[in-house]
Amino acid sequence: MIEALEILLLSLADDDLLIGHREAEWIGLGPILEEDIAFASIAQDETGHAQAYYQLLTDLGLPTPDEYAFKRSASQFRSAHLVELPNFDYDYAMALVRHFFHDAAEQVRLEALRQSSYEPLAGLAERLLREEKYHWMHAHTWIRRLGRSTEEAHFRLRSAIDQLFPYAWMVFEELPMETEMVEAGWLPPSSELRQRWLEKVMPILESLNLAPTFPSEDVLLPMRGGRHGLRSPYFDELYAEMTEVSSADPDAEW
Amino acid sequence: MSLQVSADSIREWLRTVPDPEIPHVSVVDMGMIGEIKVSDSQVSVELIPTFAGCPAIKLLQSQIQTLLRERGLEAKVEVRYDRPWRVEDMSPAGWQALRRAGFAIPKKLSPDPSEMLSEVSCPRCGSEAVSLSSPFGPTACRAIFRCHSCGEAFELFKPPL
Repeated sequence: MIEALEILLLSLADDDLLIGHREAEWIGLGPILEEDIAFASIAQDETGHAQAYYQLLTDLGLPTPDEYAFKRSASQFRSAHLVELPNFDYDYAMALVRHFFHDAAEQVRLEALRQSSYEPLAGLAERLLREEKYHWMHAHTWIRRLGRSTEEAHFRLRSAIDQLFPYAWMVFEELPMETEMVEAGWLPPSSELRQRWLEKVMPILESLNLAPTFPSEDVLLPMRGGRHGLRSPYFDELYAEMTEVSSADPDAEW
Repeated sequence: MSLQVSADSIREWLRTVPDPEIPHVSVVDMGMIGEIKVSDSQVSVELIPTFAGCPAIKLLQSQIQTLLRERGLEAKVEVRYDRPWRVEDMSPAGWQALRRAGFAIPKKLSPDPSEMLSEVSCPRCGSEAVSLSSPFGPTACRAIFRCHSCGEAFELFKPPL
């Protein structure tokens, strides 16, 4: 069962670690100072959440959070491709839409994990949900506000939503060993979580006339495999940057 | 040799350890110290971070250990992420210290953050004519507001909800 537990916790942790890094890239570049601070603060939370998930594995005698974060090979990561995507041209609409999709997914996953039969995870989910509420509020407030503002804002949101919706869909890719996890009562099936996520994001997008169409299998194909160790083309560059300091002196004590 | 010290006296000593981000309040009054266990030869202290991403946790761990070592105790400081920090665990002295430090404090601890952020008054002049500049501030537990009566910016102490 420890193998399944590692898959589940790494899927959760790796999403947070990588989006934490991507969101931190906005520091100093936000469109207004308050957004700079917001993304910095959210990024700090996400990185801390990743560390707390890794720690649950460390507590079982598995590697330390630093080893998980900085000393794995690409194929050992279990992140969704959504969080690996770069900040293309630093388009704020793209950043907000990714934040919106990711944080809606976090809400749905953490709500479900509060009921997990794996108690350390249920306890952690309860904690993280209390912190994440501010992220979700930030995300949907901006989407609503910009979705009702200018034609340009609406156009840019639509474009970001159309590009990112299939990636977000694959956040709920079926996990390896998912049947065992569901039978153990750790969490509901990914397909059910995706349904709950759709119920969270679609009414908001519909009210703004921004609802995307559901992606076809063809569209989803290149976005598959994140949970199974297949990385997107953007991962290597991201990981090289994230590990630049730790790999300069691998034995350093921090 | 068994230790001649009670958990209560250790808790008292820890009142001298400030919250690293809001140094006006001790970690005890912040409700960050959970169970303290004294066994035959060892002390263990539970440390409950307010936010999981708090960067000061390692610092706090070593400050607590140093303080207890100066009093002849070797302590294990166990960081508990697997349960939430609850604002209800703050002491009345903790709330008072926050007020004295110039923070606005939430009037109502609703689980809905937008509700909590919409009922805030200025800690300087008491006016309710305030607006939220940013729900995120210099640390995870602060939000930034502006008062339209006295014109000052201020911070709300923002707990996980």
